Amino acid sequence: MNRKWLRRIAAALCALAMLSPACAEEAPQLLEPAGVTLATAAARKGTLSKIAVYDGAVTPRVESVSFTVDGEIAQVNAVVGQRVKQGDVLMELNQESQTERRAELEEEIAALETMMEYDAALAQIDLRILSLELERLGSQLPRDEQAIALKKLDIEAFELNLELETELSQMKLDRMRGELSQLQEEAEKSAITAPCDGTVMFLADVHRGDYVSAYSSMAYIADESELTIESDYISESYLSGAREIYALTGGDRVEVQAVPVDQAEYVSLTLAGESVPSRFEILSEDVALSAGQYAAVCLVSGYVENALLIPANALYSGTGGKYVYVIEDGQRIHREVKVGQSNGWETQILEGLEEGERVYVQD
Amino acid sequence: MFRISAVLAALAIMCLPALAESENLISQDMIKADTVNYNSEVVEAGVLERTVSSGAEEYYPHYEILSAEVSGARFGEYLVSRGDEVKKGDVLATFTLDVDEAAIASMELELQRAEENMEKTIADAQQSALELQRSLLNAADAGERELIQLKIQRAEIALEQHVFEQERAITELEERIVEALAEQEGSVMVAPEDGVILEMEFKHPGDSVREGENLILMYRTDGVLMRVDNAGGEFRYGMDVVVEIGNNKNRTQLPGRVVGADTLIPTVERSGYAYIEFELPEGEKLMRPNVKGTIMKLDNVLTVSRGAVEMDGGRYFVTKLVDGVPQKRFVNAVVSVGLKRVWVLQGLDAGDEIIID
Repeated sequence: MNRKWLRRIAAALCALAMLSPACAEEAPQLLEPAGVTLATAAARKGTLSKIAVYDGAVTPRVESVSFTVDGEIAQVNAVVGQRVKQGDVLMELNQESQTERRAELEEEIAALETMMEYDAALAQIDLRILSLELERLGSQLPRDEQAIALKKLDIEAFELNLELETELSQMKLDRMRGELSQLQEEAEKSAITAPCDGTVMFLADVHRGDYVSAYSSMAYIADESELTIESDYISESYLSGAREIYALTGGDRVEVQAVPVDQAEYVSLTLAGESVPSRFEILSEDVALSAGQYAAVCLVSGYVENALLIPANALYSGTGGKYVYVIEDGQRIHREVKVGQSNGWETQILEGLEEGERVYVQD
Repeated sequence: MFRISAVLAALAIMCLPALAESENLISQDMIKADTVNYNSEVVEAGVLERTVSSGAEEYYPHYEILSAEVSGARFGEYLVSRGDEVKKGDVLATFTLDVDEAAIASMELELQRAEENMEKTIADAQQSALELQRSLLNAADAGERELIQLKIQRAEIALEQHVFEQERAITELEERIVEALAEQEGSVMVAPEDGVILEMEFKHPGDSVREGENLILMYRTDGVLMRVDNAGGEFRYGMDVVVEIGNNKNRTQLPGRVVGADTLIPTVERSGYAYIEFELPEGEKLMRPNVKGTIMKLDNVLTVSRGAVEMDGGRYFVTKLVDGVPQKRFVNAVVSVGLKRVWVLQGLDAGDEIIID
C-alpha cells in the first residue's frame, strides 16, 4: 500500500471516530450550568406592606412668655434649667419712675380734692355774702335800682365763674386719675409670670438695664406633664394614606395619632424659614415616656393581606408583560404572570403562579 | 514510520469522544458552591444605638452685671479683685459725687422763706379776724351781723387753705433737700448676692463714671451648668447624658440631664447651645469637661452589619444564604450615618443568614 492510500484510510478512520457519538445521541441542553444550584424562592402567602420611618423625639408642651409693654429690665428672677411653678415671677420691668409718678399723682389728686373742697366752701360763703348784700340793697330806701342790677350781675358772673372753675378742676382731676389708672395697669404688666409648672427651657439673654420690646419672647417653659411625639414634617397625604401609625421608643411600641397641621400656619412658618414638625398625640397609657427620648415614627402603607408574594428580583419585564422563571425539574421555565402591588422587595402575584412554586431569583 | 504514526493518531482520535463522555474525569467537588468561603452573620434582634459627644464649658446662669446708678459720679476705688468671693452686701467699689452745694443752699433759703411767709400769713389772718370780731360787735342790724360772721368764716377757711398749700410746698422742699444731702454723703456699689468677681472694668481714681456704665461682672457659684454647642440639635430637652470631668488618666463620669435646649423654639431665637444640669461632687474640679448623650436607641430591632447592605437602583439589598446558596434580596432598611449596624424593617427575619463580605 502506498502512502497516499494510507493517508486516506487514516482520514476516514478519523472522520468515523468523530461522527459516531453525534450519530449515536442528541447534543446535551446547556441552558443550566452543570452542578450549580440555582437561587430560587418559593411563592408564599403573606401580608404586603411598606413601613416608612421618621426620626422623632418625645417632647414636652412649651409655653412662651413675653411682656405686653416696652420697658427696661429691672430684675431677672429665673435662670435656664430652673423649676418654676405657675405664677412665679420670672422677670420684672423697671417701674421706678412709674412708681414715683404714681406716688406723685396720688398725692396731687388728694391735694386737689382737698383744695376743691376748700374752694367749694369759700364759694358757698361768697355766694351767701353776695345774696345778703343784694337783700340789703333791695331793702334800702330809696331803692338804688342800678346798684341792685349791678349786684345781680355780680352774682350771675360769680356763679358762671364758679361753674367754670369747678369744671376745670374736675377735668384736671379726671386727667390725673386717668394717668394713675394707666400707670397701675402698666404696673400689672411689668412682670411676667410662669404660665404653668415646668422648667425654664430657654431664657432671653437680657439683664438689668436692658430695654426690651413688647411681645418679644423672654422665656420658654417646658411642661413635662403634657408630652407628645414630634418628628420631621410628614405631609398630610402620607399621614392620611397610612393604614397604621405608631412609634418605637427604646423597646416599646407606642400607639399615636397625628395632630392635624394648620395649613395656613404651616405656609406662614415655612415662608419664614422655620421647619414645621409633625406632632403625634400619645394614645398608649401603659408606656413610660420621658421628654428627650428618641422616637421612631413608623407609617405603614400599601397594605395587602393574604397576598401571594415573590422576591422583587424574581420578576422580569418583557414586551409581553411581566414574567418569572418557574423551576420545574431543575429547569427554568418562562411563565407570564399578572402582578399587583410591590413594596420594592416583594411583589404580589395575582395570576400565573401558585403558592409553593419556586421561582428563579436574579442576582 | 509514517504508517505507525498515522494509525496511532487515528486510534487516539477514536478514543476522544469516549473520554469526553466520562463523568469521572471531572470531580464534582470542584464545582460545589459550598466550597466558597463567606463571612456571614445570622440576623437577630438587638440594640440600635447612636451617641454624640461634645466638649463642654462651665456656665454660671446666675450672674449680675453691676453698673453705676448715679450720674455725675467720680470713681473712687475697687475694694475687691478678680476671683474674689464676696457676700451679699459687701462693698465692691466706692464713688464720690460732684455735689451742687449752691443748689442745696438755694433750696434751704427757699424753705426758710416759705416758713416765714406762712407765719406772716397766719399772723395777718389772725389780725384780720380780730378786726372782724370788733366790727361784729358794732354791727347795726342782724343782716350786717350775718354778713360779718360770713366774712369771719370765710377768712378762717381761706387761712386753712393757705396753710395747707404752704405746708405741701414746705414738705416738698424738705424732701428735695434731704435727697440732695443723701447724695452728698457719697455712693458705694454693693454685692447683690453671694458670688465670685469675674470681671472688672479698669478705672483710675477720679475717673468720671456715667449712670448705667457697667463696672463689675460677678456670678453665683451655685447652680453651675454645662454648656455645649448644639447648633446641630443633637442634644434634646430632657435627654439624659453623662458629664465627664478630670484629667485623661482619671476621668469621672457624672449623670446629667439637658435642662435647656432651644430645639423646640423658633429658629431665629435660638442661641445654639444646650445646658446640662448635673451634681458636682464636693471637691471636684471642672477639668476638661465633656458631655456624652444617646441620641437614638431602639431595643429589639433587627440589625445587620453595615457591610452586609448594598444598594442597587436606589434600593438596599443583602445577599442571603438559602440552603447555602447566596441569593440577592432587597430589603427595607434604615441606614443612619455613623452607625455600624443597619436597621432592617422588612425583607429579613431573625435567623436568616446573610453574607457580610
